[in-house]
Amino acid sequence: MIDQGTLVRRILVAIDSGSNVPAGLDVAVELANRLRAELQGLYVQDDDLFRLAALPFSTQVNLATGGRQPLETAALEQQMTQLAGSARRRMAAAADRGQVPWTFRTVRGRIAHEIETAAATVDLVVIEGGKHGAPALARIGLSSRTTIQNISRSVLVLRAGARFEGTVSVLFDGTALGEKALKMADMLTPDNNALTVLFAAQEPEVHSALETRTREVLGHSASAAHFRTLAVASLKALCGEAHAHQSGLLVLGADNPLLPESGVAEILDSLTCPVLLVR
Amino acid sequence: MLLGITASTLGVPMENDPLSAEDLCHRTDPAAFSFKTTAELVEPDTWLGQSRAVEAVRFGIGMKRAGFNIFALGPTGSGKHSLVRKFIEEQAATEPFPDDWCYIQNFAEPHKPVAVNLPSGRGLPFQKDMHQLIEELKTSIPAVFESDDTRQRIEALEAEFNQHSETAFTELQKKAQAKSIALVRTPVGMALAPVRDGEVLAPEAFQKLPEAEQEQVQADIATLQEELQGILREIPRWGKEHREKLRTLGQEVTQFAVGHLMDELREKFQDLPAIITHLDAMEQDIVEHANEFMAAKQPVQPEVNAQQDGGMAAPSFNRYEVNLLHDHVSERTGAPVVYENHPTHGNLLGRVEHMSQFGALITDFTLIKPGALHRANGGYLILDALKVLMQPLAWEELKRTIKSQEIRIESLGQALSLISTVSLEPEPIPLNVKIILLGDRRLYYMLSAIDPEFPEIFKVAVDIEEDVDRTPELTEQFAHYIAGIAKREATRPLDAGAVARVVDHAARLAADSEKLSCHTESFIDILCESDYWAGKAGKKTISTEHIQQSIDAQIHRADRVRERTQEAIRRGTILIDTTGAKTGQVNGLSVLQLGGFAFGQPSRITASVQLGKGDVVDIERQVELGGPLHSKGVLILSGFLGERFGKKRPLALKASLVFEQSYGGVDGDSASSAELYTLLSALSDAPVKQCFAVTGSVNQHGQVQAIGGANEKIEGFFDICKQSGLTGEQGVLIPASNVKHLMLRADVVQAAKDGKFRIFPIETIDQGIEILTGILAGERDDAGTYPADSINGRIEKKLDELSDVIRKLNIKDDSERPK
Repeated sequence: MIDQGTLVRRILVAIDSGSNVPAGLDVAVELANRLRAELQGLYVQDDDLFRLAALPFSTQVNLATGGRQPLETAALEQQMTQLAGSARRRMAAAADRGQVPWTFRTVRGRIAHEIETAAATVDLVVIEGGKHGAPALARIGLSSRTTIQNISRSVLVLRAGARFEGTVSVLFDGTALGEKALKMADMLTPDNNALTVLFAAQEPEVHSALETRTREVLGHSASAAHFRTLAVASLKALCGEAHAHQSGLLVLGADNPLLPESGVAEILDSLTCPVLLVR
Repeated sequence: MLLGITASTLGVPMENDPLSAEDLCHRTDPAAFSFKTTAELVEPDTWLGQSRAVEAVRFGIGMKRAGFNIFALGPTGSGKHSLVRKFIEEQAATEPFPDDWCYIQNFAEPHKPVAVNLPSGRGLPFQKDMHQLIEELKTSIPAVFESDDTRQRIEALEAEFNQHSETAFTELQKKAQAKSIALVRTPVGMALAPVRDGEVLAPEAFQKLPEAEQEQVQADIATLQEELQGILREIPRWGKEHREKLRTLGQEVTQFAVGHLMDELREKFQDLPAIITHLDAMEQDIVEHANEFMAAKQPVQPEVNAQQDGGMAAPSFNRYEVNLLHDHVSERTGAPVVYENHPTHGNLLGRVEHMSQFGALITDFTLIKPGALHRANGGYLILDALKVLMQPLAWEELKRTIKSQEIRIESLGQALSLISTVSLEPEPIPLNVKIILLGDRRLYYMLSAIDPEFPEIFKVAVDIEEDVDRTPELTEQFAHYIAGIAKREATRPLDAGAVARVVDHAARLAADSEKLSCHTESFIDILCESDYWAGKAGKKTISTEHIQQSIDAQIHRADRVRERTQEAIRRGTILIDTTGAKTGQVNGLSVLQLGGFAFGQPSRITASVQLGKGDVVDIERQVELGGPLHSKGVLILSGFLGERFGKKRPLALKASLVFEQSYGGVDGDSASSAELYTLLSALSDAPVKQCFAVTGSVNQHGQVQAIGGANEKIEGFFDICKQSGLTGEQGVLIPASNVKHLMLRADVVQAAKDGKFRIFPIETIDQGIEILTGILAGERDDAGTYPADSINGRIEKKLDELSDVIRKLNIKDDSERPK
């Protein structure tokens, strides 16, 4: 029976106004395919950029040439329209390949606000950071971090180019969100793969209780699951365990105590696989 | 002759005796052989009756100087290939294996692959070692890159690089934040924007700022933009430095993975400086291209899919492989003996093949394919001269290669300057090979005449006899030779009678009862077919009847045209008389060669005589059906007439000669005696007996000379006579000098023995005309006059009459001429 609390019907894929690539598109399509969810593409024309363009001295530095050039409203609009069109085509192609339903819309406003607003109507938001090992500018930005913190829905955070392949690992802490994470992880685990359940608790009795609860939550799926305990209850150990077992996706509750405020960024700096923060 | 009285003096022709049956075919007596079957015989070591050729082959093989290549000349099917090869293989087996030649990558100039030689037998291990090395490196290089130590060092470099840009941007962001300015991303780059309360300042709000503050904001942004530009300018340099450090680290790590493996190879090939040099260059190349080994570890699509999808192909490590041109040792034959059956330019000299990749044709040294010269290098190469000459540029390139003594691989397109695309220029390989060309005599003499280089590079002619003397010793050797064929072809053994029949057949093939043909191919055919018939008859040995059966079957398969011709004569479509007598009409004989089968057939030759100026008109020549030899024969007739009858008077005649019902070409002079008999009959008004047919050429003095195809011609007329009924009068007049060539069919011999068919040996025209007409030819008396009733006397009388007519006509013409 499907647990309505863990049901994911819509997945939001946000596109930055400076990009034409929907964030984590391929992973989002794979996710939507497994969860039978609909993809919602959102291209935000950043209002801040239009304000800047309207200033009399506005210029920009071209990343390709390093030269300065004026930042003009008309050109900006044209560029954004082109980027949105390109993003839409990419999304259409990917969704068709993955055979998932999709919608796409363009809005104008402040990025964080628009994403947060759109997130309220979906079950899961996909946010992409920079490439692994890329310069700071390309890494997950402050606005993204803020967005991740502010969104009330589950968030899938991943780096550009990340793939959703291999096993699914879930960190189970016994909390309500932890259980939700466990169920979502189970849903996302392909039939021919085993779910890896990680426990941070070091005490045997707590560990035993968590394993028992896990078996209750997973039901018959538990028989195929692997259970592992982190050597140390730390974010570093969690990352190490996920890396060692070549996890294709790490799932954990957004309120997990192992996650500090900068936890998502830290995990992304250490991991190549996507991370799903369940809310 | 008795008391000086001859038939001639009595006015009747001298009786000529026909040849006896023994003269018509020299049969071999099986009892002369000391064996029962050929199973008891061993193949002779020597080449049957070919002492000159054997001596030449031995000399050619032994002479190691340049240009002493061999041309074995002899007719097709004479077995020259197998015999020459036998001698060469015996010699080659005593010679050492040649070096192994390989093509390897030229790392400095990749389009010029390097040729290296290794002592015999070391090429294959070298090739395997290098392949194994690459396979190991595909694993060991990625492994060393993925080791914890290397990963940490790479991560440290990544961190160092990131630190550079991160520090710079962080500093810039800090400075900007301190001035309430934010760094924002635009579709094409980055921009700096004044912010208030986390939002970019709206234009209206900006306008409300004091002018000084506005200017300050602009100035700050300008300053920060310069710094941003500075950072962006630095990023490529940092990237370059970072990549350089990664490259250096990669080389260091790769060196570690490669070094010990290369050292093992260096030790193994330390005696070969060329290989050591190659290993050094290869190690350097591997270190510089370690990333390709990393890429090789990644799963890639199959090449075909990659091409279709326009994707990238897997990295190629072909440049580290070894292209071993030929592994001589695996053949274990000593020096190589190679026969190239299809000597195209590419098959002789090798070629550079190409493969399609992403729609383009690419190549590398591993696609260099050796030619026959590579395979034979250090040994012997046997080629059919005609095949070489028929292949475009093959002959020219073969000569050039022999003269330059190096094998240079060049495509036909390159050689003809037809292709200008970049291809390979493989380093030439030194050539040390003995070339043996096989061809017929005509080809040899033609090449000698028209190709000035030919005698320089094929100095040794091995002239193979087409036949050998039929002496008892050589006949015995011939039996061994037949036994050898039987063993090679795995036929049943032949009994002595069968061998005797083969010997007779060999004499017939040689068209000479005193010779034996050496046409091996014919004997192979006869033996194989006889084996078939013996098998059909359930016999364990081949006997005379099987040999005869196979000969008869061969003839029967080929004689459709002969049957049709004979049928046409029998039905009167082609007019040939075998009885009665006709003036100015003689049965001539000719031979038709159709494929491998020849047969004789009679042709009616007629002559007409009229007033003229001494011309003998060859009608065949007039209509361009007669060849030059035939015309020469006819002109000789004029000479004969002039010599014999033209000394007293001018020959006031015009004679026309024609082969009746001849619709094809006529050549050769073997009918010239028949034509002369026809002419003499017409001039003397003496009928010729049509029961005879005539062959033989004639000279101006009336001597009858030998011709070819005597057996076929006699048998041809015999068959015609036989189908109309043998009378005992019928026969053939042949030149006496052809008697030794007679190897007639058994049925002809039997008919002669029974007195039903006669063969007359003829030495002079007078002899022949007497037999044909039954009238004395006549000899001049002391007064220089022929007997009036003789053939010659009648002719003189006829010529006198013609001359008188001409003289009277000339007087009349003069009197009528106006004065």
